[in-house]
Amino acid sequence: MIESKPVIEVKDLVVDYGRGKKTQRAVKGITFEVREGECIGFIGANGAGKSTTMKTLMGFLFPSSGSATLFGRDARDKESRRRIGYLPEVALYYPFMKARELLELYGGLSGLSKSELRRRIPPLLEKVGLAGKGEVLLRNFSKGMQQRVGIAQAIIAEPELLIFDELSSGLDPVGRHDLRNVLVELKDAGRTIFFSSHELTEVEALCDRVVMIHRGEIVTEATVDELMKPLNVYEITFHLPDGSRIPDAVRGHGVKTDGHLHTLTITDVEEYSQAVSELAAAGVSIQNTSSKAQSLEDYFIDLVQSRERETAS
Amino acid sequence: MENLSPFRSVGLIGRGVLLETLRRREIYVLLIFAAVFLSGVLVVRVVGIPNPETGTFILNLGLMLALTAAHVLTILTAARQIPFELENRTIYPVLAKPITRSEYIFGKWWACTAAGALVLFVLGAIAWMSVPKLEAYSFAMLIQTVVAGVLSLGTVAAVALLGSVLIPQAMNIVLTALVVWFGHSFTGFVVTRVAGGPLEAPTRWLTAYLPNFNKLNLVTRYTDGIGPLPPGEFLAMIVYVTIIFGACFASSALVFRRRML
Repeated sequence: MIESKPVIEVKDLVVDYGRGKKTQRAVKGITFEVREGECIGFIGANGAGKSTTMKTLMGFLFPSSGSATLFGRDARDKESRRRIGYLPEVALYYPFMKARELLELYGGLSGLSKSELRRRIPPLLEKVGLAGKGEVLLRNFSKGMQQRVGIAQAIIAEPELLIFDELSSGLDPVGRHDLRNVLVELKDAGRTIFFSSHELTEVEALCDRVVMIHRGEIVTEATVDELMKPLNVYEITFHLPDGSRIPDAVRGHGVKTDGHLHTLTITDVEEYSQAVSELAAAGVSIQNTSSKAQSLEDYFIDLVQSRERETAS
Repeated sequence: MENLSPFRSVGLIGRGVLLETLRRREIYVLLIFAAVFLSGVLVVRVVGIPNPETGTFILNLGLMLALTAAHVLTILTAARQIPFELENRTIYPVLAKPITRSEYIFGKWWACTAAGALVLFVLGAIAWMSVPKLEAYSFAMLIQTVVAGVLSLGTVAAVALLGSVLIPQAMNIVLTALVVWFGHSFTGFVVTRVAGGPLEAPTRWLTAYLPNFNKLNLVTRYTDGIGPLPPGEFLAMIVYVTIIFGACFASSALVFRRRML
């Protein structure tokens, strides 16, 4: 199998704000990469360092040490920016411009010709849910509509790499649904997507891989499958008569005992099926079986809270 | 996708500034201002202009007002460009596109200059057409006056843009206005105060770097019926402006390139 090329490479990146005694380290030596065609969710609590990392990738902030490159080049290099679409965190767009004029500006800056822009803008506005709004001044747009026009400006030139900072910020449920469809379409078209979001169901549904950052450090980097697998918990509650022993085959799993009732907790679905068979074969009376699926959000909250407790202690 | 030429990106950035200028309230204030001035001139013409000196006075006043209004608009437009973009975060999607920060500043500069020049042409034309001309008025001198006015607007836009990457917006507007209208008097005053002392030489050296906008105002020379500047002197003026513009532009581009956004 040919391995895809890295599109984003972040190596030992450190970003500081301020100087001298007032220096605050926002990003503390993080390393990760995003490969061609991947969809990566970059998640973390507020102030974790997501936007700082993204702004450094875009060349708006400068690394104190380490590096952040796009397509193997510095982000300030025009050539690398020709190949990306970027949606900033909480951006407003020129209030004195109409949506069409704004897209003409950004499309033009991306190198699209006037005729190409005329062809692309109407269907693009329709795609982001702004059909018929091309001649409306942006000062009359709601926050959600501004976010939609922001997404449109990011994808107008059909870039290879999309970097979205706080993707669904300001969008209502319908907006988030529309946006998810746009992202699925982009992903299916082979675009590389790197985005941060507080909507973890969105991350769970769309991403191949997740990078979690907390207080400027990467705390988890795994595929969604790897991350979700241990989050599924299966429980088997069984009754053992007096004098009987727990069958050897299931002893390896965690067993909680409450009088004659015993509960096995298993995270792997195959091991769970096997344990049920073995208990049945041993003539054990199974009282109850259940499965609990934790979400990425639960995992994230647990992780952040445990890190906060560690820091406090 | 085409490779974007620097001219097109600079043009697109500038187009945004011009759209903003046309859709803001300042331009309507200037139009009202022009209408009031025109009405005044019409009244004077109906009543009658008693002598050539009065006509000259009205023309001088009109052209000076046009030049002042154009400078005010240019300072306000140039001084708010970058602070507005930073405050509203509109700068991020723009600089995420394949343009350099220098092209971005250059785009802002030409458009601020063009907006001021447009006001100068419109208000200047109103003033010029409203008053009967003396035979002594030179057309070549009029062209030089207009060119010098536009050069002055370009310089002031470059100064205000440099200020906008260094100091807060309000301070920038006040300082740029002081340099434009009182810079010459201030440097003259300072040099007089230190004349003969040990500070004279360094003061003269320092004040020589302040752009002298008086040199670029040829309105009174035109309305007084004086002939055009000799070509060498006019060329020297263009070189002088180019040096000031180059210094301001290079400094603002350098500061802005190194700035964390």
